[in-house]
Amino acid sequence: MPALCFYFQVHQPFRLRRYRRQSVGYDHQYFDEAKNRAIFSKVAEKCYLPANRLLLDLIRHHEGRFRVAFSLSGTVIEQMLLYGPEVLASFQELAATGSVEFLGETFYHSLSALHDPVEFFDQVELHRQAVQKYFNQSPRVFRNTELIYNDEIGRQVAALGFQAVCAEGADDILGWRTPHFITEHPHENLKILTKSYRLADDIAFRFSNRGWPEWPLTAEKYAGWIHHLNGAGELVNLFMDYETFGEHQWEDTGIFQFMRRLPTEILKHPDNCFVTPSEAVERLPSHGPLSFSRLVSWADLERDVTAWLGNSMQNKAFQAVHEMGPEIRSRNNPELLETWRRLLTSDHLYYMCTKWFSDGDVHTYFSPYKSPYEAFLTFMNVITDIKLHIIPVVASPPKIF
Amino acid sequence: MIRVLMLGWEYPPHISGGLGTACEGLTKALADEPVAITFLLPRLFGGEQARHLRLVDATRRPLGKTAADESWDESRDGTRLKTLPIDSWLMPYLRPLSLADRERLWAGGPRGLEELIHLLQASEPGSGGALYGQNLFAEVDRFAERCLAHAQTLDFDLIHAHDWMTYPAALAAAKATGKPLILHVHSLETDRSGDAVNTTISSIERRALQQADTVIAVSHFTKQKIIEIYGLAEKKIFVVYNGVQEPGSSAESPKATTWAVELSPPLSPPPPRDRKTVLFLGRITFQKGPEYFVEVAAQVARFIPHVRFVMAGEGDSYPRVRELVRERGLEQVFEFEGFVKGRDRDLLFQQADLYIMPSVSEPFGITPLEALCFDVPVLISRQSGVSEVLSHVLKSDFWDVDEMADLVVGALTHGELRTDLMKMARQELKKINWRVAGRRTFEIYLNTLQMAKSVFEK
Repeated sequence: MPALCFYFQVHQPFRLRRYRRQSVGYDHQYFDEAKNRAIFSKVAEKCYLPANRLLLDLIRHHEGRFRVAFSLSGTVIEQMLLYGPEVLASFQELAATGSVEFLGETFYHSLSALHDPVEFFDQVELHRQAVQKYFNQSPRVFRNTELIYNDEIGRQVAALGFQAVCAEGADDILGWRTPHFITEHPHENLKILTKSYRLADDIAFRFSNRGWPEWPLTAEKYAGWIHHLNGAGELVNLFMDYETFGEHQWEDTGIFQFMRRLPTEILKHPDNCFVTPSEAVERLPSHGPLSFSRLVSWADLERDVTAWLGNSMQNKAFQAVHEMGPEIRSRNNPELLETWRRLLTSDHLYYMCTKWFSDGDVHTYFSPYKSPYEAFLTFMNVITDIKLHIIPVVASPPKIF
Repeated sequence: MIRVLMLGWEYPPHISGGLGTACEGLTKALADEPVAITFLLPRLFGGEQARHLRLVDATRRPLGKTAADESWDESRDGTRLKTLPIDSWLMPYLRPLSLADRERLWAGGPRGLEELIHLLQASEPGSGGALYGQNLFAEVDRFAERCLAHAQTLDFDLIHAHDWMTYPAALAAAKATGKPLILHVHSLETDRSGDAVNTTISSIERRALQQADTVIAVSHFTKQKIIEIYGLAEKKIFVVYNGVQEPGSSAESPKATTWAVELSPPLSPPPPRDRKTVLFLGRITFQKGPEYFVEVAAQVARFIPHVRFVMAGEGDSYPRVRELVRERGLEQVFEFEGFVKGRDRDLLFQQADLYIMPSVSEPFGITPLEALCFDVPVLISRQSGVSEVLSHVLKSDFWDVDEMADLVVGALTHGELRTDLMKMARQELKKINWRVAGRRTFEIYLNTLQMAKSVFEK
């Protein structure tokens, strides 16, 4: 009788334009307005709008028995307001069904939980206000950027009043356990929902892989796997990027047909059901404490943070942008604060990742830069401009004498 | 065992460019495959180390002798060759020399070779474009004639020839023997001369490439040019990337070159540690983009005043580049080292913080790989073959001076960037070696023989 818990991540960063050293001191327009708009529009057309339409149909068709959760970063909500209000409206339509839960996260999809507790608290609060404002919900379950989590982050999340947190069901953390039961923080009042990464990745990554023995994956086959868990699990957490639908897996792979069929196949068995994360926490008991002694994320095979903080450039950039924090937060300059916070978005660090970079590789599809080295220099040039030409100007007291 | 008649123009250590180095790397790798190579050259100077193949001086071997004849002038017998008088000495990329100069130089025997190279390169510029010795065509012609004579007495399965100087010889040998012909393109006339192409050379290239059974290009960049300029069918052109000697793997690694025993003082004292050095090393000619280097330097100097810009090499653009340096007010930060080789060359690499190759058109470009072997990060133009095999380098279009300047300033400012570039490039370098090139070339041999056989059977 496993319950299926879908959570889809929706996020877009504010990408920088190729900002060169020659611009420092002269030009303070850092963000690539045209590119951000173009990418948002493309993803909206290929994924957000058709996938939202599909989910709405499914929720109506199954009369509330099909339920899902979303986490929308604050930056993607801002982009909806700027570039596609109809996309925001379609998410609001989903929210109004009562079958869709919205999770909490950092407004700027940042890594501030790792370094800057003050900023982390502020961003989570900003995000909570945004979810309240646009979807009329107050998030009760938290998901940190890229599912990055350890016991210390759990402590901060509990202090912010969340009931539960989403985390990667990494093998070395779970040990003998399966991810299919709810656990809890060893010391805090915080439940943990662990992602069933094999079943989630079957959809998110392997769905269209013709070299995969299970290809083609049908809803019938997948429902069979879920059913086989009977007794060995209570909850299957299927956490994935929303772009799985139409972007990572293109429409012609049949991903939409798969999803359209899946609820029917799952619900054929009367014991199965769909839940949202907070419903899961309400209904299902905790099976004991689970300690995350290392930083775990949902990225790569390593399930660690090396995709964002794995090389010298990333660590330098992370340090440089956080160093300015206290100075910038101490000012009453909302525009500068907003600019700085957009730089905290984890994607900027991800673009600097060298570990799998190979010119012309598929990974570069997700980066606006030609190389991680360009990404780093662009970012550092922006930091230099803010440091040398924005902060001093704002800071200099009026000359009285 | 495939028996290959290979035609080349030069062989280390007596080289004028990358061609000889490439021939050495490729033939050594092919020695690990079931391949036997007889390598014909216009001349041997002595000192060539080539145990892995049979190196033949085509112009010296008396005609009429059989292949089994013991009097082959092989490289092992270097001392005897050294004493032979050499009546003409021509370089495909260099300017003509006056008769008096030539006589003076050769009076001392082949020892004067390096001096000759220097003199040739230091001479005044001509009318632009690549420069060729005035008797080069006669030499190419003579080489073809001798190769034809050799080919008829030798037993082999196919012909493999490197660059246009050997194409007439290869064509003649192929016609006479009916053996399959593979032409290897290390560079094209348009790469060397831009718009000022020598029409004789380009027509040699066109005719030969069109008649070849198979063409090997050193990059997709070059393959594309062959298709565009000479209209060849895409399917008969194969890409084989050059390799680089793995550092520390042999005595020939750049850190321990064969010239290490020569005792000569370094060209200039080592720079103070607080001054960063950007190095350009190559012929100072249109193809290599030296003027873009100066323009980049002018921008970089605005942001980091103490950077040294070192330019090593000689060539027809030198006076123009020197003038540009003066116009941009860069005399204080710019250094011309002239033509360097051996230990001095190694030293320049060792002192550099960044190596830059802003080539306008570079079929492959082996120097960035050498720089990486010295742990020096590199910036290369996208208009180069080597940019197809390197990801962990800085890249720019050669004309985008603003972009290059930003990359140079960034690389010199942020040690983190240089650290990450080198860490990743070292891993990448391991995959770029001659073994891969040898294996691929062997497969192309098999493929070419197979095609020739099927045509014959029809």
